[in-house]
Amino acid sequence: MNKGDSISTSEWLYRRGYCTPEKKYCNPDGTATSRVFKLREKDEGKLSVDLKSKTTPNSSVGDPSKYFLFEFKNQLLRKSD
Amino acid sequence: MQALTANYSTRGEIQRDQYLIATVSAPQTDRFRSSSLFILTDNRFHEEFRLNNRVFGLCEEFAELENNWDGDGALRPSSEALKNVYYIANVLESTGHLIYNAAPGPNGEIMIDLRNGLVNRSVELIFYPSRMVVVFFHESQAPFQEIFQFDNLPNVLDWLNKK
Repeated sequence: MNKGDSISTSEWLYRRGYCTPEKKYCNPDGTATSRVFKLREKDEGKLSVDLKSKTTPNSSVGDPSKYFLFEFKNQLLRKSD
Repeated sequence: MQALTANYSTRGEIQRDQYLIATVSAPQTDRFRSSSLFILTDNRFHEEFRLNNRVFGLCEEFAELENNWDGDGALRPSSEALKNVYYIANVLESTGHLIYNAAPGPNGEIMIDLRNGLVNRSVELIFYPSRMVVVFFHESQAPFQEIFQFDNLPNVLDWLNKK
């Protein structure tokens, strides 16, 4: 599988978001803010995610002291601002 | 009145361990006469008990962020975004409106999240370096967004707090 390939809407995805013990930039209830999913210029319109079925949480989060890992279903994604 | 005010501290006597200082006065003009109670508070007392104290603290953190603050190339929050967020946070604080959360984004923007838990509505005010956007969320309809202007804040809050 390559970056940019189409995937099923039933796939579960991982996306990591910056959140440290000192800088808690997720929501107070532990959920992700919309900023976690905000595209950057370097993304070229494509959100970078990991497929849950192809990785592990530890591998996807990289540095657990700096990032939270959020899990969601592909069908929940829609492009917004 | 002099006897009454003499029993209270004055502003010049604020000590670090004091929190409340009350001054009583009775303003009057030719047309009306009324009594008023002024309560001055120590700054630390005021900040500690602000409704949105957590969010004000976050904004102070955002102002200290540098480029690449998330280790993935995020831009530091822009000064324009910070200025606008402080402004809107102070307006909401003065009207007693709780801010659920604030978060920096990767493109120099700052997001303010307002929620109405009773009717599952929420609003995000997103302050980019050169524009402002409001996104409306309701559980029974798709999110929609508009360009945000400060003049439109009352309408945004009306929508959010509609029953």
